[in-house]
Amino acid sequence: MSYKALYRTYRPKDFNEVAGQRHITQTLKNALANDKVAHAYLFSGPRGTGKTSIAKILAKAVNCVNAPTANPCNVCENCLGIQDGTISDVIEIDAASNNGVDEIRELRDKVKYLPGYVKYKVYIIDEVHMLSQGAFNALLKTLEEPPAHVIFILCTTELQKVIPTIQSRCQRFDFKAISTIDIIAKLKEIIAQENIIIEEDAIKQIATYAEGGLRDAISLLDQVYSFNPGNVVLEDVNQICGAVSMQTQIELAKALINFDSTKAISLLNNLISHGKEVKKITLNLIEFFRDTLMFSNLQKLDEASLLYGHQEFQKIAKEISNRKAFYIIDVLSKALNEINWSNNPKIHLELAFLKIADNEDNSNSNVLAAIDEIEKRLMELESYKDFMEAEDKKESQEIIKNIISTSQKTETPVIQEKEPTIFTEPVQTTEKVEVSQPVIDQVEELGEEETVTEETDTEETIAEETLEVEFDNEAEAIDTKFEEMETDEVKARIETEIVEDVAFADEETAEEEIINSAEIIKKELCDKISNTYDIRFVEEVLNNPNKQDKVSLINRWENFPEIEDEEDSKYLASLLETGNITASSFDKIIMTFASTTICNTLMIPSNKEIVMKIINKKFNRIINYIALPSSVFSDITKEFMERYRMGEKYIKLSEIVCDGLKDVSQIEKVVAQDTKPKIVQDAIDLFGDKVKIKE
Amino acid sequence: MFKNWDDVRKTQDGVARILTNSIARNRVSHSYIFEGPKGTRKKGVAILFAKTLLCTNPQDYNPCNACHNCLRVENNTHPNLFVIDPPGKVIKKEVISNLILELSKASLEPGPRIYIVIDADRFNPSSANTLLKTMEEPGQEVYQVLITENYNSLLSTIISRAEILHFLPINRSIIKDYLVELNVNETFANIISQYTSDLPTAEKLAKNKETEEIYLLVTEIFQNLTLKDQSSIISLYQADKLFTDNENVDIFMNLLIYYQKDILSYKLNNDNFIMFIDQKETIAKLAKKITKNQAQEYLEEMLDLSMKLKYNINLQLAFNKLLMILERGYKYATHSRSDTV
Repeated sequence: MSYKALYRTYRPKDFNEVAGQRHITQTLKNALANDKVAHAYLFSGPRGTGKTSIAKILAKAVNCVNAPTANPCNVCENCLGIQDGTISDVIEIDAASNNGVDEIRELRDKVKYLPGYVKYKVYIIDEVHMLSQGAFNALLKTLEEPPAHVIFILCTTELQKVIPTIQSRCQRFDFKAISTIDIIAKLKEIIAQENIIIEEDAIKQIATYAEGGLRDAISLLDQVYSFNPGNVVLEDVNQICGAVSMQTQIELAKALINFDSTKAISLLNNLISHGKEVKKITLNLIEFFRDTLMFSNLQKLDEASLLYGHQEFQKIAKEISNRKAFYIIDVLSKALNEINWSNNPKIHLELAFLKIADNEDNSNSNVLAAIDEIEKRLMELESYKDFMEAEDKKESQEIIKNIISTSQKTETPVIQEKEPTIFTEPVQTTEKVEVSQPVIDQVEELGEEETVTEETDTEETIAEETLEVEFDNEAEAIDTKFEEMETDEVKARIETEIVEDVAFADEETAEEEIINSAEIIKKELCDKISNTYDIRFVEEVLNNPNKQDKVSLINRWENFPEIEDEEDSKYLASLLETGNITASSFDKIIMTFASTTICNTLMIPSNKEIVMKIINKKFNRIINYIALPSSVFSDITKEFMERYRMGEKYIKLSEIVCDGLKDVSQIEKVVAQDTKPKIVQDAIDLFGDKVKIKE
Repeated sequence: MFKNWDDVRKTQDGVARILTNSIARNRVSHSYIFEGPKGTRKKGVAILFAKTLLCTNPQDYNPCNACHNCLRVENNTHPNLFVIDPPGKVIKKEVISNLILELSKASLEPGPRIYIVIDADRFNPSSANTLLKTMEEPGQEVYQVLITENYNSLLSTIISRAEILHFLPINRSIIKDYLVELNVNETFANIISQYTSDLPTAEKLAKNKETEEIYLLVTEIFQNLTLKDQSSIISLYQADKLFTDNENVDIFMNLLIYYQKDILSYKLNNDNFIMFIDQKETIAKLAKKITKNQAQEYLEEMLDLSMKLKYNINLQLAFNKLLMILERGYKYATHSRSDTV
């Protein structure tokens, strides 16, 4: 008699010997004891969990001479006969090789014959999932109402392949993978009977590798015993399974955690050359990282796992972050899937290692942790953002307003004083002076409050004060010097004017007045334009050119944003786009346009305010500007170049003179006041009275 | 052919130990799965195993190599030894059914009966399931050996019914040195030693003109990738003849994979893993053109294709597709200028 593999020798002979599956054995035992055996059973579950074994025990139990009994006696004729396979009433059919309709029909035909020796004919149909569709259906009727002497037991590993109509006609028993502890218990029984000398750890390892299949476990035991009949140790088991020893696992895990792909791959090569199997290595690693997760998160000790006692394992488990472990398990699981089907399993695993190492570059868990932190901060920031934006808007608006009002304020008195000299009578002029007196007083008061007491020169106080309000140290938007110069001049002019006014008041001759006024008108024209189109502004920009800034502005000189609460912003933005930036000194720019009308429109203070807001929104900084017709600017550049060649350091230019340009510094929101559409207004500006509006 | 177990022990110590111990103690299991890479002489061991079981005059655990049975096993004429190695990519159910039928009858000669299935991963589901019952209880004195390169592609129910013996791959450097001694180009020797771990096969491959042509084809394909105006698809068409042989296709695919792996290794600065040593320049050039991720992607693409080769697919189209993917990646690499560091 040849040797019988251990797993065949130690097939359970009665329900008490079955490892695990207590829920099934208990049910069946009760059914047997009460003689309530069903006519059809369906056993399903993974390999090596005892389906066929229990089917055989059931076949014995129903036919035992002591029936009804919970367990077969295993001594009577019937039990022994069934055990040896000499009683032909227990029929084991391999559905995989008899899967056709014909075989099932044959079976159906034979079912009606009474059993020869024992009470029940038991059909054990193994691997029933392999039956064809036709065969299943041919079985249906018989399965539902078999003769009283027939019991069907269907066994399968793949329940989902068994059609529902079959399932519903059977009592279903789902076999579970046998727990490691049950396997260990069963192995110890066998070890005791076979006198095998084996380490405790080795038993644990065998049970772990069996993955719930008792047959696998017993096979493995058989094999390790052959491998080392003297004394089986853990290393033997590892070697036979192609599994990785704990020390190597830890080394490999360390390499992976440190993203050292080179080391990991060379370790892998080493393992493979020692006959370790790629799939096992992968599985081991997955298990390893799963164990680290379990250990670090649950602190629960699974007795069957060998790793937990290991010092270095505990260290790694404490250090590794969940995210990292998840990532590694993820990549390895994917690789495992591919390894199962590939002829190049090693390359797959190497790729997985590289991916894990790659993690360092792309989404390193440290980086991920950092991202968490950043996200948190971002949330905080965002809550500030709205607030800051509102503040910012306010601030920039104020600054723009200030710039505009400065020029207005400094200019206003001049015009107020000057206008009478031309168009009004002397008496009125004095009145005007009187009218302006309170304003000056007010300003004086302001000046006193600020402890800048320059009573003699009110104008200067105003200018300086506005300056203080306007500009912080960092924003040197408007040169103080320029302002001073302007105010100085304004002051001088006022003095002369006042003198003249006094002269008028004294009733001097009209002739003198005419001569004077003729001169003044000419001067006035220049002055008037220079209120809006100030050559000093141009000088300043041209003398402090910033070419880089100019280029960067030009490159982005499009798609201007709208300002929400300003109606005209869209129109102004479109005008703005037609312009060219010709010079920039960072906070001041010169734009040129084709027509003087556009220039005039853009220079109206109210419009200028909006335009500066637009620019601020677009470039995030405050840029003061002057809009010039391109013809004027080309004259200016010519003059500038000439003087530059002459070697002047700070080049002063002559005043701007151009027909189309108007002083618009006093016009308040022309467009808004006018009910006419802008295009009509433009036309009127261009053609004057000749424009007629059709209704 | 192995004459005795001591020969086996030199390369496959573990396997020899388990089998000899089993034989000596009369604990031979009824079914074994021999698993290991190409060229580890699994079949040789299986035949020796059969010879040992059948020998009429065994010395300890070694066969005598002289008796009638031994000689007949050696010549593959023993009626109790069945070697199942049907041609084709699949082992069909009929083959297994016939075997089972044969085993159910009384044997022609006394003594054990052994069947050996070559490349058992060729089982389709129905043939594998058919074998299950027989595997578990094959009957008196029937032994079975399934030989496979990757036992994971077998059914788990089959695996659990057998004892698995892992064959160690033979040290590559031995093969390489051996080939270099035979005046084989070092790179070529390197690659062949990666492809097979069996000395005779390696020698055969090294001397085979076709293998060399494949090698040249692969290097040409990758060199073409560095040039903008050359497509390798044409060279592939010209080499059409090579692909009539399945083995050649397998070699070709593997060489492509090795080359791509070299590029990836270079990218990762693992220079010492490079197999195509004399191609280093081209590898360096190509490595600069793509990112690490891309390199991985192409390698995965190739592995994917190598898996598909098991099925009936249109080889020419499959390879064309692969080359197109490579060409798109390498030739029109957009970031090549910025990523040269």
